[in-house]
Amino acid sequence: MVHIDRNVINFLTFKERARKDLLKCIDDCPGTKALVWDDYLIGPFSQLADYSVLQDHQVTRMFTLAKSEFPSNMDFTSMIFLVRAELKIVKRIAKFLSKAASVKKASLPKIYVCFVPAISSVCQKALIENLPAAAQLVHEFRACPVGAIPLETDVMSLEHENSFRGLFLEEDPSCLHHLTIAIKDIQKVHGVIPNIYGKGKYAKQLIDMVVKHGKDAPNSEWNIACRFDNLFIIDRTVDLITIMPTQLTYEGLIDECFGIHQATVRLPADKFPNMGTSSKNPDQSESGRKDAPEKKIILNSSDELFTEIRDLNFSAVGPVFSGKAKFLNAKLGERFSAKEVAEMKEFVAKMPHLLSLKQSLTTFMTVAELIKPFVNNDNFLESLEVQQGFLSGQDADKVHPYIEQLIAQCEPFDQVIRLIVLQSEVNGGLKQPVLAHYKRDIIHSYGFEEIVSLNNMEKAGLFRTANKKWFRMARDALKLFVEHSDSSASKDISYIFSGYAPLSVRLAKHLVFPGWRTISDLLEVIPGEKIEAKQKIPEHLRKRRNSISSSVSSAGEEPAVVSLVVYIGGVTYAEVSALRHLSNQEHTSSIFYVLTTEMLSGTALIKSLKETMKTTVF
Amino acid sequence: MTMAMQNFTDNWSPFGFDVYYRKFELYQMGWQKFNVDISDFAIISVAKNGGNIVVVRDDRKKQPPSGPEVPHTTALIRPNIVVFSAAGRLVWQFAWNSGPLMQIGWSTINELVCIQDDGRVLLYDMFGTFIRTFGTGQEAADVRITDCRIFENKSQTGVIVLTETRKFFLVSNIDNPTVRAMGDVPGGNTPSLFRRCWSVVCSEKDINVYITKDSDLYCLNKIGQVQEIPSGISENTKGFVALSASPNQKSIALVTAEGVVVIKSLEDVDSGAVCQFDAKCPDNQPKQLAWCGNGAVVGYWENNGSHILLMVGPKKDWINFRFDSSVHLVPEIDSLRVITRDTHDLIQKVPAVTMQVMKVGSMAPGAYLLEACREYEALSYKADEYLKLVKPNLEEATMQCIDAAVQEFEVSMQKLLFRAAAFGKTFLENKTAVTDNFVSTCKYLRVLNALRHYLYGMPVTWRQFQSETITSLLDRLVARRQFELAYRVCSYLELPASQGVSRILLNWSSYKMNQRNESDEDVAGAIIGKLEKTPGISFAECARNARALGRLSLAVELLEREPSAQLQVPLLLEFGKDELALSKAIQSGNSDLVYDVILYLKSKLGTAEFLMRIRSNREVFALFVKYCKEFNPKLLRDLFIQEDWRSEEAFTFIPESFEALSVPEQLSALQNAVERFDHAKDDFNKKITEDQIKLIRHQVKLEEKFAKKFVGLTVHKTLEALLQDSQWKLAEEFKKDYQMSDRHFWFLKVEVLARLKQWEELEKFMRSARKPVIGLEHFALAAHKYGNVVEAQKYLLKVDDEQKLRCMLKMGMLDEAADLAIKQKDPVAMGAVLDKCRREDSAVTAKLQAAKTGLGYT
Repeated sequence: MVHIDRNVINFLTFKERARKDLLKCIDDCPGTKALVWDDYLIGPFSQLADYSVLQDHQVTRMFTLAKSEFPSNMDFTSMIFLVRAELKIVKRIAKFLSKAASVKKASLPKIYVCFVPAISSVCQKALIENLPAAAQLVHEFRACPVGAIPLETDVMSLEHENSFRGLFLEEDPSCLHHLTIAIKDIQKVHGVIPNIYGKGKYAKQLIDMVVKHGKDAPNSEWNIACRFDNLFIIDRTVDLITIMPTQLTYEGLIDECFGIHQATVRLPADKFPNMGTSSKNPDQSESGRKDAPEKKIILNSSDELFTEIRDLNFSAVGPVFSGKAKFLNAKLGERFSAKEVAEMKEFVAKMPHLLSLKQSLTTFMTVAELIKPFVNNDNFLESLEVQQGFLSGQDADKVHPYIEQLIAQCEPFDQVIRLIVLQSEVNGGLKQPVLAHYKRDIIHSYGFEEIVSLNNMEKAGLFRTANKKWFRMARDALKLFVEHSDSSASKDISYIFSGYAPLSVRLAKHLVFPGWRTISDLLEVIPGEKIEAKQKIPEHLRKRRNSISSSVSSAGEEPAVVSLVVYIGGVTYAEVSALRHLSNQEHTSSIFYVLTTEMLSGTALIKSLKETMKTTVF
Repeated sequence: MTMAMQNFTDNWSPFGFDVYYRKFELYQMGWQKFNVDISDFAIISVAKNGGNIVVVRDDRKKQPPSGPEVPHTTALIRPNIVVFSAAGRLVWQFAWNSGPLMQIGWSTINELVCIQDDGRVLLYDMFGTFIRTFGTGQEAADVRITDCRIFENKSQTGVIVLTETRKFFLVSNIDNPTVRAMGDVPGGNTPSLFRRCWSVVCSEKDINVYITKDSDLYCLNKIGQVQEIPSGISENTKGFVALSASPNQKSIALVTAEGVVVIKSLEDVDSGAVCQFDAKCPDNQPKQLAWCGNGAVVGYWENNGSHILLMVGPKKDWINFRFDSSVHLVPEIDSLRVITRDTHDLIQKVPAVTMQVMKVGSMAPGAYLLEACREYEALSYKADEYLKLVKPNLEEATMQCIDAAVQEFEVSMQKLLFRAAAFGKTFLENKTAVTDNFVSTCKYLRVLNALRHYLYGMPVTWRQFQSETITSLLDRLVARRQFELAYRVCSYLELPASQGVSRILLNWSSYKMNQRNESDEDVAGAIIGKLEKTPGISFAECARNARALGRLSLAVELLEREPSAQLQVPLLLEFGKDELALSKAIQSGNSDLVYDVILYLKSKLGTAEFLMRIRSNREVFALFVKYCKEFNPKLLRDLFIQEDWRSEEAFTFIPESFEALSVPEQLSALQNAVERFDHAKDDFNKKITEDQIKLIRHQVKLEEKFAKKFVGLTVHKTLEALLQDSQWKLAEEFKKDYQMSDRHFWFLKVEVLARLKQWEELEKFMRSARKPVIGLEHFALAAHKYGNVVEAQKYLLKVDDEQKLRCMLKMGMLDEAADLAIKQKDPVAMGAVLDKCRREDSAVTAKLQAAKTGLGYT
């Protein structure tokens, strides 16, 4: 990230610790090892240690709970299950292990079940209840204490699958517990965060937990100067609006079109000729399944070019590409003009850099080409127009003809729901008949089973019928919608969505400047509790600030205001981009970091709430 | 050497070649004021490594002086047990109120091990608090015991008793008391077994009793075997009168009735005695025989009112010490303590390093360095000469001075030697190693000096200090309730909190909890006040202790302070505080803990009661619902019924309807749902579900009629299928039946008609309403989609301008769109068309550019 040199905080340093924790967990089991993966963990954990590293730690074989069978050939000493501490995993472990129950005990390896991130007694009990043999089969239940995983220098994520569903539908607060631990870990390294702000029900609960934890840890143990000024915790239901419109940044669009998982996107390999094929990964090993060849592209700041374009509006990416291409042509052309040995030498020295730039330029231009058909699609454009209409304040009271049309044409379910939720949110809820109309229509098109999905969404607060028109007020007060003539030129964050500035980001920005006091009326209207709290910090650990008078004279010297924004229930790439834009603006000196339960898109959110029925064919 | 050097060695006595022993006073005994005398004590036992003294006064008349030692068979009935520190300060006293007392000794962790004459062993702490008891077998209980020993074996305490029937019973570890019978002494039942004539010897593998009978020596082992050992003495004897094992358990010393002291090695039992020394006290048996380290044995004789200690070495070296009152000898691993009514002395072999540094005429570097320092302090030039002598070995010299310093009890001597070391250190080039040693040694010695202080009275030698861990030393302080000292030692030595201050405070808190007369609030207040300031202290452990002491409410109060819910919640459950456990679990936000409580309640309570309890809290309820969804759907429904959550209950039937194996089964599940929705007054979902029932029935009929699959299709798909079959009328009815919106129907029908290429029907449909329900552009687009350009054009003509442009663009009619935009003079529309233009559309592009320029846009 650009602002990395302006600040010492780099979340990637937490990666090393997570890696150590993971490898220790593996090393603690004796001899050669077979890993049995909870499929969901493969992604996050491959960020920490790839297969070759695991091999160095005596991992000889890998299985996955979903795709593998219990092996018949057990040429390893230990078998380690790496699983999330969640109820839904229990039956899968039981199923996998049930085969072992019939094997002679002597020929079995030592079986360890390692729960991530903490040992779960309920899962343990439930496993034994489901498979009584497990009590004898499992040598030991352990914890693999890998909590939040840094995805980027400025982003950490619990990578908690379906955290929104867990919190808002199932009302399981486990995420909050793990967020508390993550916040504590951050504070241990970067000092206690003095000012805490929050908005929303779960924000309140999390703040209570954070503050309690803070009190329990005596200052002597956290004897570290503060680097963060603010902790801003936002409950995802406070800002559902932002998740619903299509993300229009380069990275956001990749997510919308193909889905990004743990900073990696998988694309058809045949689009990327002459490039290295992806390395071996657990879901290809021993699963016996041959997928269509995929190209894994890592999306993080290790690539200079991607760093430059990820946060740009997609329409602004083209010019960057052509600029780079020209630059490359010029530079590569130098090899012909170089006459002196010294010049040649200089050129050769630059070669690796130029070649890697060329490589990534090719890659990301190809990615952009793959996105193009989506973006140029008439449906996409029309949908965008409707979104913009809602956000800019067009009437959203009635059944929207375009949404009706989408349903009648059986367009993708998530696309329909996203528009309905957006309409509902900007309108402060939908009228009962309007909602009923949509729901009936949806059931006609997508089937009766969606009655459950719709009920889930209603319970999770996606459809509101209460009629509280707060969005108009918020839009005016926070300038949530700005008309742009040219989306690439603007410096305002509204350019992320070609006009709409994410609510959560505007709230974060107002926190730093000019302060929440200026919008206290608005904060009362926006649904969800508002919380402010302070953590005591010994004088010598406080961040030094110049007095007000001197800050006027030497505004440039003032240390930046650093905030940690915590999203309970997930954050979109577009929001992260918007926060980065704020961090990178030269005239303000505020820097934002993000901690989230998971990376989220509207589609992923809707999918998580959808209920699939096991249909029997009779 | 100078004269001054001499006074270091004043108390040294030579003991053969280049061996010296020294005796010095540790304390003036504080118990003088109680007017005691060692001979008054029926029992006196001293804990090792400078430990405390426990005594029991003989409240009966003294033993009759005449005759040989009478086996001490009469136990003490109601004695007072008094504990003194090594300095003679009263620690505690308490009245014995159990059975007749035979012996008291100390366990390795400084408990009082009290043995009754029935062989029962009772453990007390040194403040008279009863800990536990165990017996040493039925035989001992039946026939009574005549003697017993308390011994240390591999850091554990063992007990052995000797019954009236001359049998030994062994308990090798009092923490795990199992009784074993030892082998019998051959010809057992003779009265000549004297109290002093046996000893327990613990080797690596075995525990043995060495015992003499007349002039024979036997070794008994714990598997009941007896072995006669040649005593190895050269002359005949009437028998042995005393026996004692050395601290390292490798030698024993014996005294014959003729007054000959015999030292015998146990490592090679068949060889003769190492040494025989005639003590020339034939009439008198020694009152005590004890080792001074492993190098000498000391016999204590009382003769006409004079008290003589005779120390004999294996090479027949000897020294006499005289005392003017009764003494008690306390063997230590490296020395011998001598306790009298007035003083407490220590006799030890002068340590090698002390000899090197302080012996007159020593040429060791340390000795030169000490001298150099003394000259330097006296401002004498000779300092330099000594320093030159020592220069090549300066580091060694410095180390020697440090090592010698720690051997001293006298603080002035310690200081002198440390000054010498510091002096030497200044001339060292590479001093880090020495400095580290200097600093840490200094620290430890300070701790020792504190322990040795009269107030605490723990005369621990350096050797003893090194032989035990700092933890066990702290444990001893804790056992003595010297919490403050222990605390200060921990913080002074900067021990990690878990080994140090936290542990001490935890022990202190247990002590505090034992103050039964103090109220829970006071105790809690005192404990919390102290513990809160210390990081890393475990209130959970503290609470557990309180619970173990039966103070439940105190335990709960302490547990309240435990920051980790993970520790707190299970304990609360253990304490039977379910309600509190639940609320703490919820507060923690850790669902696993909440589940812990839920599952605990589930196993403890009946289903009905359990469900009632669960409902009291929304979060708990939600978590349990989640659990049931995964593992127990049946219970889940019960839960909803109990709560009268009809709507939730209704939803449980919906997955069931999909999993049904037949249509009737499916319908019945749906019917159930309908009833519940009806109860819940959820009209919308009720209607939808009713519609679904209707749909399935409908579809069954359609299947019969058309011999085609219908069941399982959505309303939309069913309708589509009907339209596909050109069942216009049926479709129209179907649409009405299910209240499908007009627009939905129109979109669908237009699509199907275009797909079927029924253009006439399409037009007819358009005209069927006065105004088409959906825009005509959708007709145009549908026609275009299925390849009929003419039809598409026909509808397009009737589309209004704004939609027309859009429509044209979607249909790829760029040229026409461009013309329209140009006609409308709309730059935005022109832009939209331009966006669509590709390279091959250059003509259109040019036209638009020109128009734009014409309008003044560039």
